[in-house]
Amino acid sequence: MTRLLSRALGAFAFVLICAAHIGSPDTWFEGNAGPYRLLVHVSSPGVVPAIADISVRVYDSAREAGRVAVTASVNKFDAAGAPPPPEQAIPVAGDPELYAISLWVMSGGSNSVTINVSGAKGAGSVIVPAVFVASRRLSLDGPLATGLALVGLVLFAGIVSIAGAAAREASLPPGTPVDAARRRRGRIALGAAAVILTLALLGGRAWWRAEDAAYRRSIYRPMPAAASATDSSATDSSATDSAAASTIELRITDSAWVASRNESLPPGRSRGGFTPLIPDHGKLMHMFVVSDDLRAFAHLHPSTSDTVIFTARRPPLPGGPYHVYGDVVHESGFAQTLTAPLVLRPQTAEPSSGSRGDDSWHVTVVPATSGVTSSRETMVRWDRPVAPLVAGRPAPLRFTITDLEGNPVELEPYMGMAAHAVVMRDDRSVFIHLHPSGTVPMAAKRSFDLRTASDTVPGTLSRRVTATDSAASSTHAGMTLGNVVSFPYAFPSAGQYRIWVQVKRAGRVVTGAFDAEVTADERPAGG
Amino acid sequence: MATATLPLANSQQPTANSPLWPLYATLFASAAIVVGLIWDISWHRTIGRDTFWSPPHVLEQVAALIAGLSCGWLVLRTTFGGDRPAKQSSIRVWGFYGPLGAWVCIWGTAMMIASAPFDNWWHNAYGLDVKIISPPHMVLAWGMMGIQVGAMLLAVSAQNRGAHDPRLKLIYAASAGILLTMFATVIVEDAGFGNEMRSPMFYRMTAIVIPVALIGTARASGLRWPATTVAAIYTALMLVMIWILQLVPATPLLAPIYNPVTRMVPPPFPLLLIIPAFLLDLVLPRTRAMKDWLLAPLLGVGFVVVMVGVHWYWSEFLLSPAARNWFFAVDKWDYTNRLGPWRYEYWNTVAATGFARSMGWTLLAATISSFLGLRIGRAMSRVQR
Ligand SMILES: [Cu+2]
Repeated sequence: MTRLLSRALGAFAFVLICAAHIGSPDTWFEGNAGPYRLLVHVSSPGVVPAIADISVRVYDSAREAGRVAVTASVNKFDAAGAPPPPEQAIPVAGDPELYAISLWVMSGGSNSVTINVSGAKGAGSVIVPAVFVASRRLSLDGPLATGLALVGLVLFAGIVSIAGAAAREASLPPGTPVDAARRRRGRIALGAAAVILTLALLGGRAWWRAEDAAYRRSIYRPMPAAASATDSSATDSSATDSAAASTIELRITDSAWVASRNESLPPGRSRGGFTPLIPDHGKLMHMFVVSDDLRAFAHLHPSTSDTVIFTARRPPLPGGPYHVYGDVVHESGFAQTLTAPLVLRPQTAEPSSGSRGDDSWHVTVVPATSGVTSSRETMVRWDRPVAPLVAGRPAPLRFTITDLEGNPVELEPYMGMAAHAVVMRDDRSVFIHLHPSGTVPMAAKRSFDLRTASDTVPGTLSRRVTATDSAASSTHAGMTLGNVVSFPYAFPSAGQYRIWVQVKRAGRVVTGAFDAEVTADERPAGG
Repeated sequence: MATATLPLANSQQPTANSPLWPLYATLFASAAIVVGLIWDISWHRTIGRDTFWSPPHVLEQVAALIAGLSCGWLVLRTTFGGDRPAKQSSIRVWGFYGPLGAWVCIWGTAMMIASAPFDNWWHNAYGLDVKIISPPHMVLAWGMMGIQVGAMLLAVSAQNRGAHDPRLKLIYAASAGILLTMFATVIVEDAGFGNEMRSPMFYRMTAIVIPVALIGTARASGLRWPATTVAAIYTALMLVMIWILQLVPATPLLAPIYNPVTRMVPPPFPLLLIIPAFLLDLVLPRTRAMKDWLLAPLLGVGFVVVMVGVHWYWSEFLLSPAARNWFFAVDKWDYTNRLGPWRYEYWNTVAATGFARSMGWTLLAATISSFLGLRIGRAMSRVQR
């Protein structure tokens, strides 16, 4: 009955305000648990505490179906707290590789979902970081609101009538008839009860509003930030390594974070409730600069001395209105996307696509279609099926990289990854940075993998993560990559999206831009 | 409802008395609700994971159904059963006849049922409550208290009509003791633990809630020691809950677990309400001639003075190593608690001036609560139907 109820409630309109990674609160992860390759999806309940639905696909386990056991548990990022006992996931009917489980998430912020798989191939487990925050507001309307209002009316009338009848007759000895004075007494009691109850209900409404306001304040917002651009003094912006080059700057304006940046801060103290930043693929911030018409895109890696102001060299992007997105990861594994509007003035240099080290930018002049890339030697092709893309269902984000003749090409790791992708809705309500491993930043994963029970002082873990991050980046150099990359993800809502896919070939970053129309899920609720 | 006719056949007496089984049924429902509530709180402190179908919730729902169905049956039987004495000792609501207590019980059941979808929506909208007190939980609490007050009204009207039957006096006292337990459980967060017994909040909460419950029920009782009996029932119920819950093995199922408990966490040791209750039983019979508005400040101030006098020093024992055993169970904490010296320290204490200032409000609250108790008690002693 409660399941039915929650399904019915699930059909109500969610008022989306914002969420981690901007509008895309679910966690997708593809990786290994011992000998098993897994695809994990953790749906964000949108409030905390609440139940998160988790699904685990154990690849190539269909023949083993019935002998594979999947268990899972959720734990807060907190070295001092013990995790709960793992619970058995249930095989999903009709899909021999899929297992599902619903688990309570009790505290907000950085959590982890530990998945354990055992079967004929042995046993393995993996920690999937997941951020849970209050991200939406549910309004009470529709049939539930009408029903509750009717029931409330009956209950109100009922207790008022009972009060009236009690004052009228309850103290009369059995069999004594009700006289006029008693009747009046009953009416007075009825009126008084109605007045008192109305006042109580008004008080209840004020209380509800206060709770709702407090909840709205608790809805997660990323640290506020501001963006600005400086123009170079030199007219020739193509002058390389010039100290006076144009820059783009993202400045964190969160007062608690800024106030704690001075160096009198004890080492490792957390800043304004947030733990220190840790590098992800060797960078403290992955900055994306996207024009509001989605034609110009840059993936930059700004430098910072104080983790408050992040400065990157401006690539040759056309002038116009932009938004800057700064992806950062905290020591606790909490990942957030800081965002701020920015206006770029036109430059004398012709806008172009290109790359400089790990920084890359891509400008399309025509609507993006399959195969448009930033390179004249490399093609990125989206292997998309003819079936329409549907919100909430796994999206077929698989891309093949070839040369212009269609021959497979050799990819190189781009910041330790086979590929990076950014998915953005045309109204900027969705922005997310994906990897072939999913939505989880590698730094967050490393934070969870490396933490120990003794990491009670903020900063100790981040130093270890930083050390292994640079080590990990260098070891990636020797990895072999195919020419096909895919990203586990589902579009969170219907609408027009743009996807930028980035790979590295022959020392240069290649960006492909694609448009996607996503339709709403037409399946009946809960079907 | 075939079985329901059996006890009825036995009680076909020529008096205007209603059958006794609805009294027992609602008394059971009332007790099951408070036991379910205490169990549920323990569940949240021990296991954590909550579902609509957790055993304590099921107990509460079953209790609501028992109360609602037996009282619904009582109303239908009185209205259509052709039993004239029953009809004459009932009140009329929306054309139906039934005793006042049955009506209040039915309303309480309806409130409890209505709170479920509201609570479900609330959890979906705002997350599972971190605090016990939320609007949907208040609807539920009013429903629970409706059933308990209804059970008490059923008992008190039966007692008032048939004063010759000592069982009726006991049933009424039991229903009152259960209601007192409910009141004490609702305020347990602020006024339950020994650690709180030197904080102004402890005395304010007890001053608001306890006098009205104790005086309101005692004044209408036909027993010689009514308040003492009611307080003794509360004390016994709490002790049984404390001792039984500790025997049940249970482990936390939610993270983070800071305190890996292995048994159900019991509620705090019952307040020593039996002492002010005993004094109340000494005072009330000697002050029958006094006006309520004179008696109320006397009782209110007396109550607060006795509460401070008793619990200020009693808490010293509760925080001492001597109380850290299964009998007093002061060393049992939630799975979410990071254990530390705070367990055996006073919480929320204030300076003497602050305490004295807050005492002014506490005395006023106790006086108002006592006055309401006196008025309710008088009204209760007149309930005939
Ligand atoms: Cu990246």
